Amino acid sequence: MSALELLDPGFVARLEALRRRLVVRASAGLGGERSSRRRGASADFAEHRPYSPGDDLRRIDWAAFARSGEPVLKLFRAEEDALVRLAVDTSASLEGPKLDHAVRLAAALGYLALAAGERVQLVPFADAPAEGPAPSRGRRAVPALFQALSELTARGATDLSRGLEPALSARRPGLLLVLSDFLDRAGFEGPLRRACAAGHEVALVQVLAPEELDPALEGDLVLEDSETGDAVELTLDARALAAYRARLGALFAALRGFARTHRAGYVRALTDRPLEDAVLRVLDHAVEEPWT
Amino acid sequence: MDLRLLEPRALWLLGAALPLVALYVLRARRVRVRVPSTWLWEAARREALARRPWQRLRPEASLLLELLAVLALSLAAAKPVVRRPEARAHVALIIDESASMGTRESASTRLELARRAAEAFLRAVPSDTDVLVLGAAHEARVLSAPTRDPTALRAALQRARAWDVEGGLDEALRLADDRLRALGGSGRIVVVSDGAVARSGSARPRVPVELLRVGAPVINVALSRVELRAARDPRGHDVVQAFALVANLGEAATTISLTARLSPGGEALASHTLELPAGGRVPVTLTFPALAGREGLGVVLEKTPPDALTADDRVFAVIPPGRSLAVTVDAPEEEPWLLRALAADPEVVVRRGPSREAPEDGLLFVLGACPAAVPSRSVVVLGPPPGRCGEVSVGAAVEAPRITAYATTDPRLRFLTLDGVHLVRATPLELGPHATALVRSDLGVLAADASDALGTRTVLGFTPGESDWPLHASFVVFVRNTVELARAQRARRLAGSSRTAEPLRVEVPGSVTALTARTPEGSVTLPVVDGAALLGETRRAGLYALRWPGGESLRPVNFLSEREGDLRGATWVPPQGARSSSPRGAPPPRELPGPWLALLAALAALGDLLWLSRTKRLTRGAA
Repeated sequence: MSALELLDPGFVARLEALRRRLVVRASAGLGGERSSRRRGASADFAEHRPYSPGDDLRRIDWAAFARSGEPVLKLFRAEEDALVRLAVDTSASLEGPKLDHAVRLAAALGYLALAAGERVQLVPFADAPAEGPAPSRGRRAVPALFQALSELTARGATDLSRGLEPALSARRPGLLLVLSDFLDRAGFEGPLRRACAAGHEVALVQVLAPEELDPALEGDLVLEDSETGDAVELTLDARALAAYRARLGALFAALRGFARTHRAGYVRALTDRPLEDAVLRVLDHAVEEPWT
Repeated sequence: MDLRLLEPRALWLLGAALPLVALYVLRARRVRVRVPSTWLWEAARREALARRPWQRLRPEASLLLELLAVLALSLAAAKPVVRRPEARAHVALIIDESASMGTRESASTRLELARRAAEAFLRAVPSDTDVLVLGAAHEARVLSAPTRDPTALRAALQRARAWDVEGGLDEALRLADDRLRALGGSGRIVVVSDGAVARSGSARPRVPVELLRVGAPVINVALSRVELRAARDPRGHDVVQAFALVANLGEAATTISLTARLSPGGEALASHTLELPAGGRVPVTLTFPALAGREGLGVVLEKTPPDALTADDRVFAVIPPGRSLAVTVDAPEEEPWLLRALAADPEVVVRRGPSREAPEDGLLFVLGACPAAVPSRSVVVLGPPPGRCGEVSVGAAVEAPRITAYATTDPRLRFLTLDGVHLVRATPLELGPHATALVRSDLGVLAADASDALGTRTVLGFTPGESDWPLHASFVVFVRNTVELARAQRARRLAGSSRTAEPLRVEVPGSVTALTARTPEGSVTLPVVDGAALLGETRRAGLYALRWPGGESLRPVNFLSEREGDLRGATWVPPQGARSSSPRGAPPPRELPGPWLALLAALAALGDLLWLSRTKRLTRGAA
C-alpha cells in the first residue's frame, strides 16, 4: 500500500469523521476515551497541549487560556510518558489484503491517537523486531506515520516474542495494539502475558481474510506455508474442513480467553468488513464473542 | 441375446487400464496452494489420516471416466456382433419311420437312404443353424432337441427306425411347427421320406415344408388280413381255418406261396400256392387239424418268396379253441331239465362233478350252493343258499314271486321271453356295488350278473325245478346263450389279435399287480390296474407273450396295411401354401455399431477433460 493511498483525502476524511464520532460518543457519555488503568504517577507539570473536544474540562489551564485565548490542557509527567504502540505483524502470513487491512487499521488507530494528542509509535515485527520510526505526537506526525506504514511489506515468519521484545522491554508501558493474525506456532500467550505483566494495556486485533474462516478448497492439495514454505499434503473434504475450523475456533477461544483473563481487548478484523467497525470495537476495548 | 466378438484379440487394449490405474495410485496429483499458515491444517491432516489411512485410494471420477474410455475403445476394436433370438434360423428335420422305409433297395433300405440324404442335408446347413430331428411313424417322437452339434445330429439319425406301422406325418408336422414357433426366428421343415404315407393329413404348418424323397418304385405283395377260426370239417373233426387276404401291389401278375407254421417250432401246418393278378386281392384259406393241446399256440402265416418289404410278408395268429365246450354240472341231484337243455348243443361236452374239477375254459353250473373259488371262468349259480354269494347277498325264500322285468339286451337273455314263466319259490338277491339285475320280480331281484375280473358269474335265485321255466323254450335259449357266452369269452382270452401301433390291453385276475410282456423289442414289466395291463408300444409285428403269476396269454400283433405297402410311388405331397417366413439361411448377425462405442469412448474422454479442467475452489493468492 502506498503512502498516497493512506494520505488519500478520502481516507483521511473517513478517519476524521471517525474521530468526530468518537467525540460525540464521549460527549454523550458513551465513552470514547480509553480508560487507562494507569494514573499519572507524577504531579509535576510537564507541558500544555491543545484542548480537544472530549477532553476533561477540569484539566483546562484557565490561566493559559486567559493568556492565549486557546484552550489548553495541562499534562503532567506521567501522562507525558503514555505511548500508543502500534505493533503491526509484517510476517509473510499477512501478505496481500491482510497486510493492507492491518496497515489501514494501524493508520486509523494511529491517526486517532495522534489527533487526540497521544504519542504514537509504530512497531513493525515479524520474526524479529523491525526498526520503526520514533514515537511522535500530534497531527503533524500523521504523514510520517502513514509513510512508515505504507512502506511495510510482508515477509518472514512470525515470532511474537522476538518481534515485541522492544515493546516488552520498554521502560514505560503504554497501550500496546497488536495487529496480527496470531498464526504463530510458538503461540501468543507468552509474550503478551509478559506485556501485560509489564504494565501494558494490551489490545489484540486479529486480522484475517474471510477465506481463512471458511476455506473454499477441495480435493487433493498441497498446502504451502507462506512463511516457512513447508508443504502439507492433504485431501480436503468436509471432514478435513471441519477439523480445520475446530482448530481455528480453538485459536479464537484462546485469544478470547487471554483477553478476558488479562483485561485485554480482542477484536477480529476481517478484511472484507468496514474498517470503522473494527476501530470502534478496538476503542471500546471489546472482546469478540465466541465464534460459531 | 447372442453376443460374439469378431476380433477378440483387440481386447488386449484393456491392458491399457493397468498403467492408468498405476499412474493414479502412484502419482500424486495434487494442486499446490499457498496458504498463510499450514499450522492449523496440520491438525486436520493428522485427524484425516487417523480416520482413513486408505484415503489415497478413494475412487477418482477422472480415473473412472478414463477406464470407461479404454473399455469402450477396446470393445469397439473387438467388433462385437449380436444376434437376437428372433433372427436365428432353425430347421426341423422329420425322418419317416413308417414300415415302407424298411423296403430294401439294393444293399440298403429306404431308411438308410434317408439317413444319407439327411446327413447330406445337414452338411449344407449353415453351422449356426439349430436343427431339430423328429421321427414320424404312427406318432411323432423327438430324436434330437434343437442343436447344431454335428455329432449329436448324426447320433439322432442313427436312432431312427423303420417300424412295422402305418406312417402319418401330420403329428410330426404339427410338432415341428410348434417347436419352430417356440424357438422363434426363421424356420423350415424338411421331411425325409419315400412319400408312401398311409395316412394323409390336414396339417398346415406355418413354415415352408420340403420333401427329400428317397426310394424308387418297387413291387410289393402284402398280407393285409388274417383270422383264425375253429371249425369242423365235413367228417365232424375239429379243424382250424386260417383266413388271409393277399394283395398284389404291382403291375404284373405273380405267384406266391402262403404257409402256416407253428411258432415257436416252425412245424408246417398248411400251405397253399396261388397266382395273383396285377393289382389283385385274393383271399386264401388254410385248414389244418385242431389237435388237442394246441389251443393258444402261435401260428405264423408267411408268404414266399419274400419281396422288398418284409414287414407285410408275415402275419401272426393264435390257434383258437375248438368248438367243443366242457360243461360241468355240480348239483346234489340230477337236474334233467338242465342236462336236456345242454344236450341240445352237440358241441357241448357235459359231465357231472364237483366245481373244483371244472376246467378253466369251460362252463360250470352249480345248483344249491355258492362255491367261493372255482377254476372256471364262466359260472352259473342256481338256487344258492341264503348268505353271501360273490357280489350278491341271497335273502330268505319267498313264495310265488312274479317276474316284472328282465334285461333283454343281456347276451344271456337275448332272443327269449320270460313272459308266462311262473316261479313257485325263489330267494331274492340283494345286489352288491358291482352286480347288476338281470331279472326282477315284485318281491325282488331274482337273477343277477355278478361278474368280476375272473370271469362271468350269473346268479339265479331259484332252480329250474322251482318253476315252470324248463317247460318254456326260453329256458333252452337261456342255456344256449350262456354256453355261447362262455365260448366267446374263451375265444377272447385265447385269441384277440391286434394291429401294430394299437395299445394292447390284457385282463388278468384282480390279485395280479404286474405282468411281464415278452415282445419282439424285448421284455417289459407292466403294472396292473383294476385287473388290466396296457402295453402302449406295439411298433413291431409278432407274437407278444404275456405272463403273470398263475397265468399266461399269447397275443398276435400284426402289421396290416395295403396303403403303407404300396411302394409304387409317393403319395404324400408337402402341404402347399405354407407362408415363407424368411429367405433361406440365417440373416446376418447384427454388428454392434463400433462408431457408437468409439463415440462413447470420446464422450468419456471429454467428460474426463471437463472434470480435470473444472475450476476448483481455491483461496485467493494460491499458486
